[in-house]
This record gives sequence, C-alpha cells and structure tokens, in this order.
Amino acid sequence: MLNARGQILLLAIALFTATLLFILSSMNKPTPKLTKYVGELQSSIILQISREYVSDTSMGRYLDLEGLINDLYDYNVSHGIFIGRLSYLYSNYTDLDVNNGYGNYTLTWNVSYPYLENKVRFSFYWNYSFLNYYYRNIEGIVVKYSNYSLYVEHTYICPQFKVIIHPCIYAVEKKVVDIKYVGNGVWIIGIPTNTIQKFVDEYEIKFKVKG
Amino acid sequence: MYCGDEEMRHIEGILITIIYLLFLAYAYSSVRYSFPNHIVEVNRALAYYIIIHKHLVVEDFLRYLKNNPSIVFVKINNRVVYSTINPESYTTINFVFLNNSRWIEVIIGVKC
Repeated sequence: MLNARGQILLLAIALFTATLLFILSSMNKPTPKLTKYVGELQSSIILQISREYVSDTSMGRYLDLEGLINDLYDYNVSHGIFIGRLSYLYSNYTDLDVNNGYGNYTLTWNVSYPYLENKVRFSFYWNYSFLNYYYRNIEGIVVKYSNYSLYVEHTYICPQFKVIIHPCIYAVEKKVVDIKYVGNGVWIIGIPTNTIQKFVDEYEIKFKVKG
Repeated sequence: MYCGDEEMRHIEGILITIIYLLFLAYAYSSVRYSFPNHIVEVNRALAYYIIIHKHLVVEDFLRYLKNNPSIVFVKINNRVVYSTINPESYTTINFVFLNNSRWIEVIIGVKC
C-alpha cells in the first residue's frame, strides 16, 4: 500500500495529467468528424429504396435493386454511410373479388453488421369491401356503380421505429371513378360494376380494385 | 501468518486490477458508443424526412433542417447549400437519397 506522501504524489500526477489533457484538447483545431452512429438513418435509406422498388415493380418498370445495393456499398467506402451487408426477400399477393379483396407488396431486408443483425421491412397493403350499388348518369347513359370502402397503408418497420402512413391516392381513370377520403386511411370509392380500376398513391405505387 | 498476509495482498491487487479494467472498459464504451442527444435527434429527423418524401427538393429540405439550431452546414452533391456564418467544430452525418433513380449525396454538419 502507498503511504501518505505516495498518495499525494499520485493525486498530483492525476491533476497534472487532467490539466495537460484539457489544455491540449482546447488547442486542438476543430475538424469535421464523421458520426459513426448506426440507427434510424440507415434503416430509412433502406426503406426508401424499398418503396421505390415496390413503386417501380407495381408500375411494371424495372429497378435494378442489386445495382442500388452495390451503390450503397460504394457509398459506405466513399461517404461512410454505414449500411450493413444486405439481403432481401420480395413478396406480393393480391386477391381481388367482387365483394371484397386485398393485396400487399412487401420487401423484407436482413441487414448484417459485424455484431448486429437488423430486420427492416416495407409493406404496402390495401383492402376493400363492398358497401352498396348506386347509379350514375354519364353523358346521358345510366351506369351501375359499386360503392366500396377502401383502406390503404404503408408500413415501415425497423428496430428503431414503426411508422404507418396513409398515403393520398387517386384513380388512373379520374373521370370514371368517384373517390372520397373518410380518414385514417379509409376511402369511399365508386367504380362501374364489373370493371377493374387502377389506383396510384402519392408515392406512385399502383394497385387494383375489382368492381 | 506471514504467508496468509502475502496471499491477501495478492488477492487485493487482483481485485483492484479487475475493478480498474472494468472501469476502463466502461469509460471506453461510453465514449465510443454513446452519442450526444442532438446527434440522435438529427438522425431521427433525417430518417423521418426520407420516409415521408419521395423527392428531395433542396429548398424544402433546407427549410426543414433550419428548424434545428445544431445543424451548421449542409452539402448536397458536393455543393455547400447552407452554412452558418462561423461554423464551430462539427461532426458530419452522411447519407444518400434516391431521387428519380439517381442518388443525391448529402452531408450534414452538426455541432459537436
């Protein structure tokens, strides 16, 4: 064990070191440093390209997802964006019936970091159910319409958050379809009976409703 | 008796070393893996912006960022689009935004 003099010496050395470090840190010129924080931002980058992929696929366009992933790896090196190794699974399912129907487009990612595995998922989901019939006069012709309740949502899931967005939608054939927003992702739509109508949301994701 | 004292001192030394190492590990990990609240807040704000928006419009994006006083610097595609008059020491948060199938490179400077 140290004696009293030794302890005082040790304390003096500690105080001197702390003072020296403080002076050195204040002399240090400020230089921008890259934050090595991995979290919401990386997940949202992945979720954004997921939405773009779903949008392009629903529109019948081709988006090279593998190319985008390689771009992200390149940006890891050049810009330090800290995206982990990515693998993905895309699934879509639609079941359109006259009385009701639903569909979803889902892209699920596995994001691997050296000591961490994250799951990130984007999902576009809609469903509709029949309400009633009504008739509409279009340029002198009476047309039978089916009224539906339609629900549309985007779900963004990652370890840091779960966000649900109810996007604005519009019909591809605007003059033919009646559409009204009720709230909380629910729309009332009227479409000519025995037709399939296409809708697009504000993020350019296309989906169908069968009347 | 003497041997017992010697043994006790050894154990004491080992215990002090273990506590010292634990403290060092704690201090290192808290410095290495913890981030100031404002850095985390900016990250969350950027994540929210990316999720909500399909397109990155520079003016709109800057208006959004200027709400946060800790942001001192914004560079988009290698062009400085916003900087406070005298930026202090800052750390950068880098990300990319897919805009009409083209990447936009964004660097945000946040006060340290």
